[in-house]
Amino acid sequence: MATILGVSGTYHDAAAALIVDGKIMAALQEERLSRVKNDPSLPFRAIEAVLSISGRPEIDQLVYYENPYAKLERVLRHHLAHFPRSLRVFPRAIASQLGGKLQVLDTLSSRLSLPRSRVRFVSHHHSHAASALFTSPWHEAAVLTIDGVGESTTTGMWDVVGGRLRCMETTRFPHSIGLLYAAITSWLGFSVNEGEGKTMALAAYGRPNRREVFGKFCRLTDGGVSLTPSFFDDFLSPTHGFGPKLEQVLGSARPPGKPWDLSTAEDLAYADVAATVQQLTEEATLHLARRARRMAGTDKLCLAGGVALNAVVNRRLSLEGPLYVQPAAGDAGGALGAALIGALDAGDTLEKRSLRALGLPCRPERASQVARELGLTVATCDSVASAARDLEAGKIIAWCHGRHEWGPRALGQRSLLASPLPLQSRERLNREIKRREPFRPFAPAISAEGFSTYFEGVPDPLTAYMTTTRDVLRPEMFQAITHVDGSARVQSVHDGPLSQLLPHLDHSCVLNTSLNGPGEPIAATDIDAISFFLRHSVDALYIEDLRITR
Amino acid sequence: MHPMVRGCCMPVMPLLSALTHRWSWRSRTVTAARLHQFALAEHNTFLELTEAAEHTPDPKRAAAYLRHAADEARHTRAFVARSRALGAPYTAIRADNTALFSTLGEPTFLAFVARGEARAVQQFTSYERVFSANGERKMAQLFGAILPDEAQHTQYATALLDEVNEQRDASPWRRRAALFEARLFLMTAFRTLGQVLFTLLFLLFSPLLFPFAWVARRTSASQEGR
Repeated sequence: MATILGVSGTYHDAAAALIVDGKIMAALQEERLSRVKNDPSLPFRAIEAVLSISGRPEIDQLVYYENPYAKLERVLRHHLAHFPRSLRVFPRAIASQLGGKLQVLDTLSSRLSLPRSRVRFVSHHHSHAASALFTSPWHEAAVLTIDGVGESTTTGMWDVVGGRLRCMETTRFPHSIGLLYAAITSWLGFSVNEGEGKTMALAAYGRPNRREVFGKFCRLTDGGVSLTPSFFDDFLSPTHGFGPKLEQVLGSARPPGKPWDLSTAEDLAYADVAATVQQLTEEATLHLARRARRMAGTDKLCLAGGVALNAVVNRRLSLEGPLYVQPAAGDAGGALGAALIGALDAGDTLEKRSLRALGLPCRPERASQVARELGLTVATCDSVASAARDLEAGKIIAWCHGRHEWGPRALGQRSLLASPLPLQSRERLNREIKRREPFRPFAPAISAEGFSTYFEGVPDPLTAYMTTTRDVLRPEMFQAITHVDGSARVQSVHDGPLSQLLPHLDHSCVLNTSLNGPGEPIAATDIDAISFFLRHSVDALYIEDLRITR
Repeated sequence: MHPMVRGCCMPVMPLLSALTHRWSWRSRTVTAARLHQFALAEHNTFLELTEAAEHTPDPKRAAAYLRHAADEARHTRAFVARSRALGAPYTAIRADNTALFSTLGEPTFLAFVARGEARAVQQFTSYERVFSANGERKMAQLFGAILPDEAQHTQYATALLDEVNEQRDASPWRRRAALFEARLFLMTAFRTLGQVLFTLLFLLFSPLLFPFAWVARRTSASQEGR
């Protein structure tokens, strides 16, 4: 019986997760509280929050999600191997490692007043694998972890022996599906660790006709991909991930921030590159998945690591067997995985639970007081009936109910909701609020009961967490949420706040996007929601049974 | 430099602005870069105020912080728009949230905000004046549009400080805020100096790395995976 705190951070997506006696109590990403997108700094706000939610238990052990010493070794060896060319980045890289990353365990120990003996680490990909397997519906499965790079592993294949994960095979840096996708994302003018979803959306507009060119720097292997480092600036660039050689074969990188116009040949050419890298990623991951399933002797597969956020890849994998993807599949999920490993090591039996809502709850009373002080109109109402009326009238509403989500998707706790039918919904949302690229689709949420009427297949754990795509059976009806290829990253709603609202709506379906403006993390608290409402032209804000308007 | 410390050593802002204007805003590129820095400063203030709204126990003060934060968000967009109109490359606005409210406590935080906003009033007034005098209408309008907000922010922060302090003498909080600013300035200066020194020393002693680089290259091929 132990209280285990899992922590990830110092690179991107810092997070904290708390497990008490084998039960996941809370998990939060630091960005939700600091309001800094992809906040990498050690998640002391998130740690405070998970402890507060759980009644401030005494921490028996803190488990950090990766080995900082092994990471330093890889960074050092890599920069030395490319010395003196690495001189332009070597000082900063070493300063960053020595200045804080190497002392992370001591820092956590001293800031939390925990004896250093109670602070330990596990390996990066082990954290990822644990976050997937031990939250899946299964006790045994093949596990595949794919990301940019951990300490030096980029891909891991695992099976389960005696209830514990066993690593069967790894692929090492620099041969990385994640780094390939990130490099192309950067070349397309999007930010790394944020823009990969944009690359995935853009891919649907192009054709994968650049395979021959890609063959100059990338080939498929049993371990995923083999990359030619010189095309990626030997992975020395802290910002780009690609080098001049890549631009020589692919063309000039697209300037960041330049408006997209997919009616032009120029932007369609960029879409073709996106489609090509998407196809390569799908093929590489599919091959790895088949090998993992075969080696583990099961068709059940758990997936984690940043690449697992690619919903289109997940759709292909799910066609070959049962698939589970933990909703915070990126580095934030490492905090949860680390905690799960710690709990197992402490002898606790892990209790499986829904990961939909592990964050902070709303505080309607405080929200009401603050909103009134701001001169907003606050009314107590039947939020389900009122929201349904607003949505039927074509309004866009902000919806805050219950504890906020774990992972990058809004699942109906901190959402912007609108009608999924007319294109005007999407256009108004994009023009006035989200200001996203025009090719990016919005996602629908539909009741589990109504799912098969309008979307291909049946609901499953993938659709519950919005980690896959499905074909829209009536695309002409659901114009606002249908992507150009006829698919949608649909959420099937089985329980929670949205499950009460959906039956009141036409087709039990709603456009569900995250409650945040451009470049912001998703709202966590009611204060974040009110702050959002002040700055964006949303028609109404619902916080539990409060309806707030201007 | 911490955004609220910017200009803390420029007590004679109007005269200095006039004298340094030609150099400080010498080209479109430099102007765009400076405006980007202002955008970052405004965004940092937005983050600090949002966190203050979260943690203050008083709903009225939470509302005041949120109103101020909304203004800062608008200022950020204005600076970004002008910066990009002048040809600045697209860069995401990423500022730090240093949890000032929790670090300083509410009274000192309010004193710090009041000081920062008063300095902004002084700084932007002189910029508006000099840009107007030089016929740079759009730049003058940019700073002129923000000025009333900064003045209002100074007023409300001062008023709230008096309220939190129950109308007693607020000098101790103002002194703490001033000391904190000075400490921030020094820490930033030392950090910058340290970074420069580290880089220089690194470059100076970097030839010693050649033997290690040779060993690393010899072993790197066997370390890289399939």
